[in-house]
Amino acid sequence: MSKKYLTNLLKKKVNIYIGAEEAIELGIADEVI
Amino acid sequence: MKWPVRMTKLNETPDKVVPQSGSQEEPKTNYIIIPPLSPDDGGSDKLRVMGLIGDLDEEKASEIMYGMLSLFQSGTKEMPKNPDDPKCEKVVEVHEPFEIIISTHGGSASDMFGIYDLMRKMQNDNCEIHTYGLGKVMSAGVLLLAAGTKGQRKIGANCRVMLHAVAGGSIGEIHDLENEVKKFAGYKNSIYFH
Repeated sequence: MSKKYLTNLLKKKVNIYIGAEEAIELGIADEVI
Repeated sequence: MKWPVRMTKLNETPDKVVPQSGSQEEPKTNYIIIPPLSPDDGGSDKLRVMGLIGDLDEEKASEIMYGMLSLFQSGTKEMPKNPDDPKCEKVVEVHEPFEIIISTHGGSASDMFGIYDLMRKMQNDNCEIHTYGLGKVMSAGVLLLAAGTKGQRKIGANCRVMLHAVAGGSIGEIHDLENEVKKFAGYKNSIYFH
């Protein structure tokens, strides 16, 4: 998860919903079960 | 995956509560660890799971922290530093990993940082923490899911993850409010950029 990418997400000032696959891409988790 | 949480609060009266063996004093925690079911009863002999289910507030954070400390302590073993050398007297502490299931809408940032710091401390002591995100992992729960040991952070295929900026409010004198705003701005950076 790059700092720039996250900063851009949070600049939208809305809640950002993501799924399991995207969470893995962002580095929040490592594996889908 | 190992199921389910095998803990109970002290003020409840479970059918079968067995104190941890090997210690003369009872651990001063909110939880007593119940020995897991035997493999013959459909259980595993190594269930070391706890859960963060629901909103994260002060009480929940206290339960999580005491539970983590209890699991950390109960999984500590002393092993010879060099097992191949029978004369080796040096001993190292080995910690068994434990698992945290996370399903939360989030909650207090301060309490989340308390749990996060404890997780980091345990990981620095070579204790693996496996995190599972199931159902919903939102706000404060995201950092806790990501704070698990790298390679051991798992997420359910239908789990919803939500990120957002820090939200909060305060009432008081103007200079106090200014300080609060500065503190919130600091949280914004520290939550996602750890």
